[in-house]
Amino acid sequence: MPIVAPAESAPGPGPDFPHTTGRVEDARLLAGRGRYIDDLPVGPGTVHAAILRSPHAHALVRRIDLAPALRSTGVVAAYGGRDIAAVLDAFPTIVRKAPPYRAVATDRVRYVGEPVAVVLARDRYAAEDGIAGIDIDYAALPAVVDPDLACRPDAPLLNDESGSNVVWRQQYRYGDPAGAFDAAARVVSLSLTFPKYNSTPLETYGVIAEYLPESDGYQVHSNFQGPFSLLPVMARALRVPENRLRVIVSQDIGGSFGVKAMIYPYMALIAASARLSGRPVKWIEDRAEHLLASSSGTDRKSTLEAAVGSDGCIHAIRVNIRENVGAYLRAPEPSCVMRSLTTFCGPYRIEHGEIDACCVLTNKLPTGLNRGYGGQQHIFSLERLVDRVAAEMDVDPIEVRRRNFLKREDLPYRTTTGSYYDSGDYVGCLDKLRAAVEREAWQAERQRLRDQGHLAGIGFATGIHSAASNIGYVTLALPPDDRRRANYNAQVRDR
Amino acid sequence: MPKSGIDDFAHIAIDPSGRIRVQIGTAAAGQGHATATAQIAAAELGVRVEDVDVIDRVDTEVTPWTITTGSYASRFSIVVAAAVRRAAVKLNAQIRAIAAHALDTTPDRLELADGAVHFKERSNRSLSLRQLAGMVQWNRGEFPLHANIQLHVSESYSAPNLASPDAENRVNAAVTYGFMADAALVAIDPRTCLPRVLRYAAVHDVGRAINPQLIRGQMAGGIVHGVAGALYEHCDYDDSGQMLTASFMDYLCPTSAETPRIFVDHHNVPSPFTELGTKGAGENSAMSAPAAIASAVEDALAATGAHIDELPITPGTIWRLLHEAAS
Amino acid sequence: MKPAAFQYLAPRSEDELIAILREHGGEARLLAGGQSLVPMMNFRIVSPAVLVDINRIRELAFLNLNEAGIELGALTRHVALEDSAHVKARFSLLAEAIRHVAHRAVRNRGTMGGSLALAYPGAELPLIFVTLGAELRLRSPAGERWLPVASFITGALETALAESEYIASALIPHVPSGAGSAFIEVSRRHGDFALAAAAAVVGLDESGRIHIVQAAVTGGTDVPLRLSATEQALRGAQPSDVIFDEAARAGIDAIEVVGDHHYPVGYRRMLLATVLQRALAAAASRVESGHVH
Repeated sequence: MPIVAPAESAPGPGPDFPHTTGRVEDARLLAGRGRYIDDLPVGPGTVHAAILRSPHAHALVRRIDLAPALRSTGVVAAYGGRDIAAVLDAFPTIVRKAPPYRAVATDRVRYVGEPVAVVLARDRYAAEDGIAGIDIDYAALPAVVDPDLACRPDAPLLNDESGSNVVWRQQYRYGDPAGAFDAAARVVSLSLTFPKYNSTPLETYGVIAEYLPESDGYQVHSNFQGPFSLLPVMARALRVPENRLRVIVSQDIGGSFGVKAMIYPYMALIAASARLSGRPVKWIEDRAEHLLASSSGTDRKSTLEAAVGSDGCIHAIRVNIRENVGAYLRAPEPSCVMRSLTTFCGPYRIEHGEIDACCVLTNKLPTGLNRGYGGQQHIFSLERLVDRVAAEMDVDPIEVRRRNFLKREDLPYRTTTGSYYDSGDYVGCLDKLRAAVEREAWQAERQRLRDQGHLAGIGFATGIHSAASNIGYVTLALPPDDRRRANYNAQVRDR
Repeated sequence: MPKSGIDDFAHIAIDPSGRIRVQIGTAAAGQGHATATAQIAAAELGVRVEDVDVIDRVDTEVTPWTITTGSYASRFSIVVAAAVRRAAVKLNAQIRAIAAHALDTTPDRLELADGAVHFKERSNRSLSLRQLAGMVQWNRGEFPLHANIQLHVSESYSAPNLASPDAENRVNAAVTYGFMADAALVAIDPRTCLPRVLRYAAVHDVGRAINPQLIRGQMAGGIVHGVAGALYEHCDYDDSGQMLTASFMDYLCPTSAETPRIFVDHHNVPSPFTELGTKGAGENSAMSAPAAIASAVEDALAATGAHIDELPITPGTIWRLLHEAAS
Repeated sequence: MKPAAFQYLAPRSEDELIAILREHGGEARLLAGGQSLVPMMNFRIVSPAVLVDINRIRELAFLNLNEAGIELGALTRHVALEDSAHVKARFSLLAEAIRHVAHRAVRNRGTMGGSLALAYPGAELPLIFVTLGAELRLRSPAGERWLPVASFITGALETALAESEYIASALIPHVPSGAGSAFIEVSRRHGDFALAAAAAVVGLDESGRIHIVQAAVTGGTDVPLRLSATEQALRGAQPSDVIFDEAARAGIDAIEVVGDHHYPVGYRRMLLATVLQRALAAAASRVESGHVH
């Protein structure tokens, strides 16, 4: 499948970059000489881990009998949630009121696939034999998977103490949205559902961990991608200072797309197992585990309203977001909604906005970074809204975008949310796309398909691709008062 | 504790054979960071890409890592690339300073090209990087004691305009903001209701391209991830919380057969805020394709007036929309 | 995803295999291509105590064209069918359908016996065998018997294979000379099991009327279903899109189809009628254009 692309010419600061075909990495990788986590030689005495996972979406763990596992041939150790909890705390999150998130469940399981026990054995086969023998007494509880249902007062609660599955909620107002809606020629609204999915990197998670009693520290090899802001999260849970948690990332990683940021609970779990057993422990996640219990993007229910002028220009947006973070809110959430806040206007001149966002717990796999990380949820919402504005105002969808775009000369541009758009020619870029689509005769192709009896359609979408995030944005999750209390003193500064 | 900023480092050196070695710590997962790094270093130091070795390793015991270290938010081409460039520029200056001693001239009269230090003006005299490295390694005593004679430098780069959020919840969330314009052509056989993305076009602003081939690869991958989200991949649960897509039989990753014919182009406006003018490229159409495809399906179903407000768009979804319209 | 422990045996002849089956009976599971069995073992969906690898039994791997039809040993790999000139010439329906079985790499290992013994709903090979009226030769320590495939497949993933019994070979009778055939499949992605698939054989007499018709469907049905009532209705008719469309709809309306949230019953019926109509029409048009057996 060829990718058609015209020749590239890129003037810019500094000398031109030398042309190169192929990559310097490839000779090694294509010859099978990659060094992925599973290729690492392991020290003598290393044991292999298998994880017993909950078959229930929501249940109390009444009793767990590990004895059959310990009797299984080749098994060296078996740990339940309470055993692990002796050396591994719940992971800290920015949302202080969030219910505790642990690497292994103790008295309650909240999603199918949640770790319940770990078995260590001479090889993975023996470890899985050990898993098969473990006896657990569950008391099933009602489950909820839809975020709107989970918000209802009668919804099954994932945490009895909290009284609600809404674990974080914040409202943000920029400009004067009420005024803009009052003055609108028309209000366009819609409700959207965005699904939960993964990026399925080719390589799954892998961890090789060792406890170092001489320094009361840990050494963990894994295919962790960062952000390294998760290192303090791991270290805190393992009760060691950061400089006593040595993380060595494998030389080669077979794709991540954000998913391997969320390996950190497993890094901590395997490290804790290493400590309890006194042996180095290796765990390679298999594909079934990955699909069930690694990570995914969030699913989202949202309602949007646009205050529109008679010319199709959008003056204000109201957004209500119910973000499904799964069974636990875990770092770095609730950052999944941040693109919908900080770039709520997208590429458009929309200076008034009201965003009411919440994170809801349901009995699904907990979420995390996933290529786009909130970008796809946001752009889907905004672009569907713009298309709806175009339809209701009877303006061509490309034209309505051109009218609403920030113009090249407007940039650098400070949005009302503080985002500082550096440069861009959105009109020119969309025009270039449209010219390409014309040149490639898409319209004719669509007609040909329709003549053959197919339903055929052409659609457009535009969006901002924000990059190199400011770590400060994570504190947007805190109310300003909380930020202030923490001796916080900052202002949005221009360059 | 307030939080703000983003930064990264690069360490660059010449080894005794005259090869350039760059050390970065990005935890790359296939994006081609080593290649781009080699290109940047080669450009600044007048060597070929093949003459640069890149070590991209993270070991928190020895790698200078920060809270923002890692591969995410498309940060490499902005932050790490900048650090590499700065380190290479600094090493370039260092090399010229050392060569100036050896050639009895001043650094501003010298330039690096073809693996050697040359006079800008015509001259027979030059010094290969290998010779220079050898001199410094073996004959350090010949050089002035006080001068900064070393063949390795470290540089870090911290991006501008990044403060923590203010009391009105305003924050500049990212260093740079690229732009994407995408289009999709979708066909649906009304008697099978199977949607197929036949063509996909993406014209993006990445500021400046370090390696167009790598970027095309990123864009193709982003497009397929977006097609996946729109039509195929779904972590699907039933109402009791059982996962219905726990194997690749049911969790459908698009294959090459489901991939549309792809056209990519650029409309780059360099960033005035980043060291190299680059904006990010890694996530791209993974974010915009679901919207473009929903829009195309809506166009295909225009006669029914159906709205596509939910993903994934499955044959069952389409059948229901057509069926409801018919009745 | 690691299997439980098992004893591994690798007989080199059918006699050795029979002896093993006599000794181990229901404890034994046969390993041919392994394309379904090995994943099932890795998921621990099945954990046989004894795994009998039959890949070395040469007498089970053959492809013989004879007067009656084509006889295939149980170990006939899918690629053998895909690449065989005989199959292309005389059983083009089989050659056409086999290309939809997963991907080439899987077809390198997958076998006819394995596919029939699994009887996965939506599988291509069982559908073709039912359409063409194939029979299976089954062997066990107790002896040998023949069974038509339609009787052999009793439900989704269920067959009439008795304990200690195995598929030795299949006999597919010749497709009538001058008949055209076609296979139509609909799946979410290339290589997936069929959402719906239909196979048809059509023969026309001198006046251009249908005098031979064999048609079967799978997908939303537990087993591949030969549509005798539809065949009956079409005999004597002039082929046309309208005729095939009506016959297909009526045929599908008359059978039991299972749906779910993702693929509602109404959708599945539409799909089945579509693939059936298209297969019939394509088969008829191949007769008219001379692409026949």
